Amino acid sequence: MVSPILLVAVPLGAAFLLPMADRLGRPVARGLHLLTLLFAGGLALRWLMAFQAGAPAELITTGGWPPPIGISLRFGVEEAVLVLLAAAVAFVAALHLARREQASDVRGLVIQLLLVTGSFGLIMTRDLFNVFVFLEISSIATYAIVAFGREREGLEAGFKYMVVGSAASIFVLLGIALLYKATGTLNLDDMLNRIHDVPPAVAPLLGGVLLLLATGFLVETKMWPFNGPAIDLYDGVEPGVMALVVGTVVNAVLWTFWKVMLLAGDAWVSTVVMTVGMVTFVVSNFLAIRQGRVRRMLGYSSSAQLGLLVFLLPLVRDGHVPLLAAALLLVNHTLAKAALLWLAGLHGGETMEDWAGAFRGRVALGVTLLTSVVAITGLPPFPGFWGKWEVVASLARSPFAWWILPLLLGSLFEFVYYFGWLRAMRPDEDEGAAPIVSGAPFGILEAVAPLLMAGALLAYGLWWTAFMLPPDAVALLGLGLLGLVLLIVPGRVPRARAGLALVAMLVTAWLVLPLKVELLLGTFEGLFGAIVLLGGILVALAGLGTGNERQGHWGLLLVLVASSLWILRAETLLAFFAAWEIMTWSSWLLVRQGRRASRAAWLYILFGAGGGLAVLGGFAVAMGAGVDWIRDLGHLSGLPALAAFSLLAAGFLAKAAAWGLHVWAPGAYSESPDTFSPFLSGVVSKLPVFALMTVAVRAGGEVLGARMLPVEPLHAVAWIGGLTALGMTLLAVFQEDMKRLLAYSSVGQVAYAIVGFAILSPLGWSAALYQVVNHFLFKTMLFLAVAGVIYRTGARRFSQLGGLITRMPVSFVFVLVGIIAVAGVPPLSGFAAKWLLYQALMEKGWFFLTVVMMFASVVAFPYLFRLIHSIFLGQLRDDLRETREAPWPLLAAQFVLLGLIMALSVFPGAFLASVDRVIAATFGGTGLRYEQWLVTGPLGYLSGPGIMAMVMVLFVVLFLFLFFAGPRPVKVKQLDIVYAGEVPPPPEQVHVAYDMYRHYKRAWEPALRSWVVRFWNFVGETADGIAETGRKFYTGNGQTYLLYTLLFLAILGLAWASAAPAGASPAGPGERAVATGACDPGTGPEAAAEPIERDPGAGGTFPAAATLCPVGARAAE
Amino acid sequence: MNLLSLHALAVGTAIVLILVGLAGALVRRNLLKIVLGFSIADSGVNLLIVTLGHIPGRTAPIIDDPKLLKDAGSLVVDASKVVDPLPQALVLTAIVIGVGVTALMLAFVVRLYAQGKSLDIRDFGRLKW
Amino acid sequence: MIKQLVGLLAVLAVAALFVALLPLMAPTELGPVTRHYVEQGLVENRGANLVTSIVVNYRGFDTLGEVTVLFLSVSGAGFVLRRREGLVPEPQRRSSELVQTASRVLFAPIVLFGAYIFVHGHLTPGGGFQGGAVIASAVLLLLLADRDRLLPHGFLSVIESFSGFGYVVTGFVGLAATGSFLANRGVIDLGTWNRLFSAGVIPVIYVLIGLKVGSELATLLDTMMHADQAGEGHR
Repeated sequence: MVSPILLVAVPLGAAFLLPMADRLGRPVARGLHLLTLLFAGGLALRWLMAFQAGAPAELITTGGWPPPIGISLRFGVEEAVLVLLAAAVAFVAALHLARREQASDVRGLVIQLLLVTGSFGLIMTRDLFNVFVFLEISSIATYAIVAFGREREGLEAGFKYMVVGSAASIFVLLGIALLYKATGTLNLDDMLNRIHDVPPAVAPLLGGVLLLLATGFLVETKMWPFNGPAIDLYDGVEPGVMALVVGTVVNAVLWTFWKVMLLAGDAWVSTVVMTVGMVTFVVSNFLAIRQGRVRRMLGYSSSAQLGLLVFLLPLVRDGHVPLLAAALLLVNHTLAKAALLWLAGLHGGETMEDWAGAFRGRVALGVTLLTSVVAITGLPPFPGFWGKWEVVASLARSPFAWWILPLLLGSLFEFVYYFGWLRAMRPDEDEGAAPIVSGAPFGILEAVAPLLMAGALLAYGLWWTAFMLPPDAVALLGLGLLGLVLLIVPGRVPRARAGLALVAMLVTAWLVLPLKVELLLGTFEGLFGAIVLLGGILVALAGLGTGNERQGHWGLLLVLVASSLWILRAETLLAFFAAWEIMTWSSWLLVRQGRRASRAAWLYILFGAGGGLAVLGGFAVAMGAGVDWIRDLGHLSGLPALAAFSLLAAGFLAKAAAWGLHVWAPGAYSESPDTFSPFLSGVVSKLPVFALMTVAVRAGGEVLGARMLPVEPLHAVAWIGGLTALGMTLLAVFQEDMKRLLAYSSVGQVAYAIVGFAILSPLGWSAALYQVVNHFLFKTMLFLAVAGVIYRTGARRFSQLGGLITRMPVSFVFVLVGIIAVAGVPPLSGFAAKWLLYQALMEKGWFFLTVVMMFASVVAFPYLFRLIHSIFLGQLRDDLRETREAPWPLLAAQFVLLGLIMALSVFPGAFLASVDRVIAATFGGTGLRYEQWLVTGPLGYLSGPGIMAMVMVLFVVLFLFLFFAGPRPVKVKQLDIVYAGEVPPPPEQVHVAYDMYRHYKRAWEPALRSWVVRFWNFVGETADGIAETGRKFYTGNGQTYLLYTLLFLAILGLAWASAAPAGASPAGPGERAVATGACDPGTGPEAAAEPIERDPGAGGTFPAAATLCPVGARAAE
Repeated sequence: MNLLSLHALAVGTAIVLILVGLAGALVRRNLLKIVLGFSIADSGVNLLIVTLGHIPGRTAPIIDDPKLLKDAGSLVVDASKVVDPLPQALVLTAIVIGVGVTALMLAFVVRLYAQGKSLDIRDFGRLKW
Repeated sequence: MIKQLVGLLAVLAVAALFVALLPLMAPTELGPVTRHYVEQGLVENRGANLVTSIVVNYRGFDTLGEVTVLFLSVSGAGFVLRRREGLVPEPQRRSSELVQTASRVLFAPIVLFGAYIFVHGHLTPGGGFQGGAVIASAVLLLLLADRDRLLPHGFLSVIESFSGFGYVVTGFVGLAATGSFLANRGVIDLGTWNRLFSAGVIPVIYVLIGLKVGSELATLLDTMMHADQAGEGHR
């Protein structure tokens, strides 16, 4: 095969020829440029394929000499990947930049090509001084190319960058020269051997030399505190150029740093590098949350991502973290950041406000942006997720497990600013949206660049995902893929898409779930799977009626259903977490499709992603104890078990919107698209209950019963659940918006299941599972009914509605049944749920909590009454006279749910018996007995048919009595109010349904004050304030940045000089004994004097024993 | 190391040059003087590297005299008679690279002056925070 | 003021680091690699100047990079200076007739001297870079004497491109002949030690480098000196 040296030689030759080619015309020069990059990419790809087939890494000699005499280069898998990546990015960048250059000049092409060539050389070379040469080539090319776009800012940033870069070059060159002096060689592989043979007189000094070198590279990799100029560069330079730099030089420098770190086995320097890297990751991400300028924010992000990679260098070298993990992170960052930068260039918006409405109507670019953001924040299925997981998993098992904490913290900040950016793109209507900037016009070649990157990310990510899926999950994958297709294929025919989604889910249900109901309900997986699929099917059915969803809605729903099913099927921690995160972002995107949902979606993803990080932390604890499978979580014990349980519970409770972590929920449930709210509230909110029951409890194990803390962990969870139930129900009472009311109600109702779970008894879990199914049924139905009302009237506030019973009678019946089910009064299923819960609580002995739950249950009546009263009863408003009944698919979906509620109400025993089989598997016994129609608990028995019959009889009797003997209704004007000289309030406020419970509100005021919201606001404002102060660190003065550089070296140099020389000798992974008698003229140097066999292909034949000898040594012989 | 030897003098001078250059780049506000500072520091580094290859009492590694050969018959050179040629080769490269960077920096200064009509580095801090 | 003081303190602390590293800078015997260069340099390359042998052959790949750096920074300076707005052309002040004539007289000998240096790069101190720099100084003399003088850009550019490309081609010849890029032995006859035609392709490469460096530095000088002149034909 063709020698990889051509990767450097051919582009160099082409660069020299470019000015000549330009004389024939600019297209000729551009063609030469593109052909060269194509050649390089193709060559790298061919080699990569050869390596895949088992070819060994290629050693390349130059000048005809084997190393260490001549300069040698290495071309293995790692180099091939980096070169391919660089060539691909450079090729796309060339296409993109062709039209964006200001004052076009062929020298711009020369610099671009040499930038890439320098990176290739840097990637491949194994000679330290050659490293310096190629480092300078790529640096100078970077300095020069900043002149590409707007001049003033580019030059300013470039000059600062040069000032700091020049200092770094001096350190690097000095370090290399001194290393040569100490070891007598410049070849990296040779030096790796010889560095152990350095005479003891100077060996302690190597730490200082490596400090010089490492400082140089920390500057070159833009670590904190040296990242000021680099961030300025992102701010001031054409973003397309920065994408080129990110894809080529940045990675090449990082890889070179890796090579240098091979030398620094010295624990001291390695610790410095790790610390600086992690500090950079956390600090850069943190400071970015206050960054209002988009390109600058991307700069902070780049710095942070590189920090993470630099942090990994010593760990990968010492085998604590696999190289593959770092490689995945690198590929992910390169592709995603390049795409984001190109998009930033296309849009051209400077500040967050400029980005309002970005890419509206340009679906492909919008999807690309979302893809890139999801990828860069390390969410699945993108390569960054797998990389980050692997990093956490290996760190957990290494002695460096504590480093996971800052890693998770930095990742959280990353979510804040990236999703904040997305939020700014779609300002809510009431936020005083700035005029929408459509951005500069651009051509197809420019726009294709980010698309290609996002496509590559997605393809590579899915390729990885395919490995992770369980073997029988083909249908699942198909569902997800179809969802993606629906997402990507353009065109707006929501009904057809809903139909396709419906068919897909029906087929999946047919394939995935065994159709025997017995088996279906006999496992956690079957029970929750049935909820997920039924919910999806019904929502899609309803979608046939509405047809006003935004593009991507049904595709995302399929992705969400697939990931939810995958959560249920997951057996490993990794599979569970991947599915969990996909569920999080796909539901977030669905929430975001609401018309005023921008803020709600932002909170949703912040708490969702934050909860995800807590889950990751919990899993990290488990992995630290050697657990990889969910079923093995029970092996944990003692403190790890408690820590894992606490973190997992926190993560899942955040998703279940438990009190304290609930601030996202009302907005998300209510502002979601009307056909998604039923799914979010009915189905997605059940997944954390599943996770608590199957994952968190196993991790906790027997620790949950033991009193390790003042309170039992589960007792705390139960109280959190109780507070949630009471608090949210209270808040629901005072809502003026019917979706918001249902939202609060949802949070409160799910809390019942959490309380039931926390009881950790067969009876408690029966109650919880019963409540899960029950809440799914009635809340989905209620949200669908409300969706029908909104669809027909366009109104959500109670004061805009009323009297619809005559216009929408069927919907009225559904709502009526729904609220009776919620209320927990006979004869409907809610009663059984509460009956079970109270018994379980009392059996457990938590009497006070029982009272709280009962009270919460009673408080629910007023708000349930409002649903009927303010929407359907009273007089019909004049503007609603033409309202028609909801579309039939909506009614059909509700009808199915109604039927299920009735079945559950009449035959609770049949359902509970099957639920008991699930519970028996966990507890080894059940808390209920069943005879005929009777369910018997510790405190009494329940007969579904009996209650139903009794209530029906009473109902009929009362109805007949009222019909014949009751008072006749009197007709009054709805807004007929007389004023005595006052200015009349707007008509809406005198509506009878307006602020219906204002009198109670006054009484409950202290309890309603949103302490939690205030707390989170305080957290946010404090963080903002610190970040605002912190970023003043970057003063904008190039000399200050230079000062930071020198101070860093000075402080660490002093620290080293005062502490180190005692024990700071390099000690790599392969500790070698110091060669004795190295200065004996008979062995080393003489042997070296033999003429070397010319063997360019093979490795170094040079004798390795020779070493540095003092001048006197030979003279004395 | 004998503090009065030529070798020590060269090492000392080199280190002083590096420090003076860095201090200049750090303290001077004038863009041109900052560039000059780096130029001086570069010279110091180059001098230091050449000195690293110096061995007292030996001659330049240019074999124009048969006396430098080990024996008259072969072309094998007596390694105890010449200084280390490798640092000299490295410095040759380093010098050229230094020239290149300096040229580019000066070009930047020209354009910065054209844009801002100032040579004070404090006037070029618009990008910050 | 405080910042400057802190800066000086930092420099002093860096000085302390250097002082701590002083023992590493004491003279030592030749290391194994460089020992090979010294002892076998003549045997393997026939070039009397061992530094040249290292620069052009043993570490020739560095030198190709070095040439690239120069090319790159000249291109970069030209690229940065391609925009001319904001600079007012300085009033021209012609040198006296005496200076102009003298500089023209001196031009040829200086160029010749530069050529001498790079042609003998494998025998005597100096080489392509030094020779090229000398040639560029001749150009500088011309430009200083007469700022209006326009250099033949097309000619310089052709020399620049083709000497650089020639260097790469020489490397390919080595690759084709011996399997190693930029190889010397086995490409052409190494000749006899201490003769002008010796040391294989080393003098060839040094001539190319000399031409390239000379033309590049001349272009750079020209670019710098005419950075303020709007709209004339500097490419």
